[in-house]
Amino acid sequence: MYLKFAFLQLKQKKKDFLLVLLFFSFAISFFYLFQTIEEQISFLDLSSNLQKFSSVLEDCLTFLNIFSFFLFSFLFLSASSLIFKRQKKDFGICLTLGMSKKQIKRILFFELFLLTCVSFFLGLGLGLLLSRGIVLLLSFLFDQSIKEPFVFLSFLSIKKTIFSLFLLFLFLWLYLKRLVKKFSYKDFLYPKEKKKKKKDSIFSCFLFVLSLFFLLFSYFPLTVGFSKMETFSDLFWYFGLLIFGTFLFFYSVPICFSFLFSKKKTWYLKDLNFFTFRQWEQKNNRMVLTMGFLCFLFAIPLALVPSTLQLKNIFEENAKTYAPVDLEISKLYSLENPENKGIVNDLKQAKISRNLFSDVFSFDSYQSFEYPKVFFLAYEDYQTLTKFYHLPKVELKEKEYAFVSNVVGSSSNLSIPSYQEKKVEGFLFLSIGASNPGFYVMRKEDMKDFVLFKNHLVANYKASSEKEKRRVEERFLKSIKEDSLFIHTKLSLQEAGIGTSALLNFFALYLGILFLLFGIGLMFLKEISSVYEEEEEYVRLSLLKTPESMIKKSLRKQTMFLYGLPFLFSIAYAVILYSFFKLVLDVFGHPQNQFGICFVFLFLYFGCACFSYFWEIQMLGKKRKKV
Amino acid sequence: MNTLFELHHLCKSYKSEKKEIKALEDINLSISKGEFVAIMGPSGSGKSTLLQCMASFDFPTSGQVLFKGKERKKEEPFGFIFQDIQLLDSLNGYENIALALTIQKENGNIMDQKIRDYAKKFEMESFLFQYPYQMSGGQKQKIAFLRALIVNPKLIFADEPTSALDVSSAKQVLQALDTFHKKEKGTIVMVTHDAFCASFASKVFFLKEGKLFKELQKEGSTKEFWKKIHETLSMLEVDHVS
Repeated sequence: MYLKFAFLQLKQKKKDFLLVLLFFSFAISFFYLFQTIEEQISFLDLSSNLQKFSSVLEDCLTFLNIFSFFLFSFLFLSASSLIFKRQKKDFGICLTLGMSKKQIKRILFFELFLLTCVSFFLGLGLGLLLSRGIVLLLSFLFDQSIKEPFVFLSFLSIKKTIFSLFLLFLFLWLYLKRLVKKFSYKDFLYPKEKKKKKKDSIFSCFLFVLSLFFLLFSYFPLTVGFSKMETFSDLFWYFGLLIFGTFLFFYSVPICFSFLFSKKKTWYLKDLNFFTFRQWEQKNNRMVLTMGFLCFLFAIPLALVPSTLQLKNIFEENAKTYAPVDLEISKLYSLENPENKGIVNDLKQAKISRNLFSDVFSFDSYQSFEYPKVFFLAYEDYQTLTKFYHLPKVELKEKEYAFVSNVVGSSSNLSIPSYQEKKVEGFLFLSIGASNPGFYVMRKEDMKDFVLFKNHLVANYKASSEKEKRRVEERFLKSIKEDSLFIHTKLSLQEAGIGTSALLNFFALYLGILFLLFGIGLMFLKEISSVYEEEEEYVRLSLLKTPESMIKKSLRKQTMFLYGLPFLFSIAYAVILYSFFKLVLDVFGHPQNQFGICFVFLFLYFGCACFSYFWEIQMLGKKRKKV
Repeated sequence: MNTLFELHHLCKSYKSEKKEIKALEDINLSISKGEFVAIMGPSGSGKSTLLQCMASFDFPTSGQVLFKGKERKKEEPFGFIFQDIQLLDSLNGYENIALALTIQKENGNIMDQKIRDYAKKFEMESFLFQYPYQMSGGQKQKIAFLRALIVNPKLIFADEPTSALDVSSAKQVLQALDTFHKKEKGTIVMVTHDAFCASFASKVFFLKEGKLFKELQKEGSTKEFWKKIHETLSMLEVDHVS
């Protein structure tokens, strides 16, 4: 009987349930997709280096999935309470007819059960379709080909999704149970008393001006003056002021606008503008927090994803510049063990043929008792090294030495009496960024009292293709067993760049999509919920024979205000976040713009705003027709 | 020709699953310009359906509704006062009145002046800028009345305008309607259950089971007319309010 009643309710309020079904299905497909990643990665042809990164990704994903589970639970809670509100009058009538609260709880249980079951299959179907996209994304991020094309059905992921769904079901069921228990007959039968008190217009205008002052006062130091900010507490205060200003803005803006525009009667009284303002005011009262959060939630993907996407290019370019040879090895000379000879000797002992390499250059670095914290290269050795590394040559005259570094802003802290210092851009160790804090180059005759510090070797593999190089490197790394060698290879650095950027890109995309979906989902639910509460107003408008076009125009304007303002704020905040990320990116290299991805987010955002508008039109139109 | 409304053989029926329900059956009546007409009858007699057909909210199954001798155009401006007032809660009194003019696409400044003038005329200035939740029932209905009147309708339809009000509020509304009728020479068609309310009218039509039962013209004082209405209602066995 309860199942039948639940089924009838679903059928009768199919549009409301459809909305929740959509949310549930999307969330389930999201869960499923990200559960499959662990298994999907195995379909990529990853090297051992990249596999390390993929395992880090898998570990972090567990925590991210838990985080997203909580966010989605909150969203589901809003969706379920919306459904409950739409049915509470029916339940109230049932209660007056003698139905017990226990029976109502059972009906709700079956409703939720049916909804969860249907959305599970829909979500799974959607997940299966999108799984192809995920593997393509992974192959793009890890720069690897896919072993075989497929639509991925993972039973392990299905089990995990069912488990998440079960927890979610339990959570929602407990929430609905509590709602039914808390509600009295009056709560069921009559709509909740609205807060009637209107905000004072003059005070709201004052708050609005204050919010503008806060926003401007904090925005410019956070963007234009960001690099000049001296302490962390400054950043904290400005950011705090920005958040406070934002909420204050959303709190006061509709009343202030409505007050100001009401002075211009020709505009205010035209095309239901005053109704639009009042509706905006009412919705705004319920949505101040949501809109404030949406600004920040939407700014994150807008700034984070384009920033991390640049990393891939930066690392690729850097690998070409800062890893110009295939192999670079260094070995510390030990004073306790004078037998410890150079790297070439170690390679001979490991029976590594010289035929593996096309060019080899071995040299030493030195240290001095007077200047113990730094090391020196002989001028002649560095000149040869510049040929290998394609670096500019250094000309050193007598009584001159060079400080070699490529970190922006690094400075020498060495001062040798009666010597002149030259600053040169260069490096010794292979890396994927400008990370050489500095070493010194001196003429050999000036380094008489210096002691040997390290032995170095740079070489290129004797191989014509990338594949061959990989094979040579694998052979070389297998043969070498000496622990005292510090080995940097071009291929491993390239892979480290790909792995790091893949990890960061993945997390940025994950969080970006999650925050975007959560933000607009929450906004959409709040908007729909407030329109449900205001539907009587629209019915009255129809009774007064208000043209349909006027009502639609008013709804369009309301949607524009509600979605447009947070959107503008998000753009402004994305600029702040981006300027921060750019500072970090500048350390690695010179990024190229990757704002194309933002259009996808904008498309999603505007899609949601349009969907919200058409849903309202549909819903209100149906109700008006009924009346 | 002073006739505003002519109803010829008006019928309205609703089809349910198996049978046909006749809400109105062969109604013939005429209403002159400047008349204050009340429509009375027991519940389910077709009063509201008749009013809705006259106001073009609903369409007759057969018969004709002629307005000034022609088929009534939908665009014709008229005022409608609802039983349950139907003020928009989010708007104040001023904005609720302005709504009617906005729909007519009136200029904002003219609109503003007009609302203030009317509010002064009907003594509504004290609560004009209050929100519905701040007003009494009578004040709300007066705002609704002004919303109907502001478009210069010359014709107002009122569907039990006082049924949800207490005695003093009802009097306020009736006085406002009476002022419109006498000073503006406006036509009012009002559905009511209340004999006291109907006694303000110049003519009363009584309906019974969808048919026109009796037509009563006002002669003599309001009190005498009220008595006559009472008698007719007793004949109809209506549980009238007053």
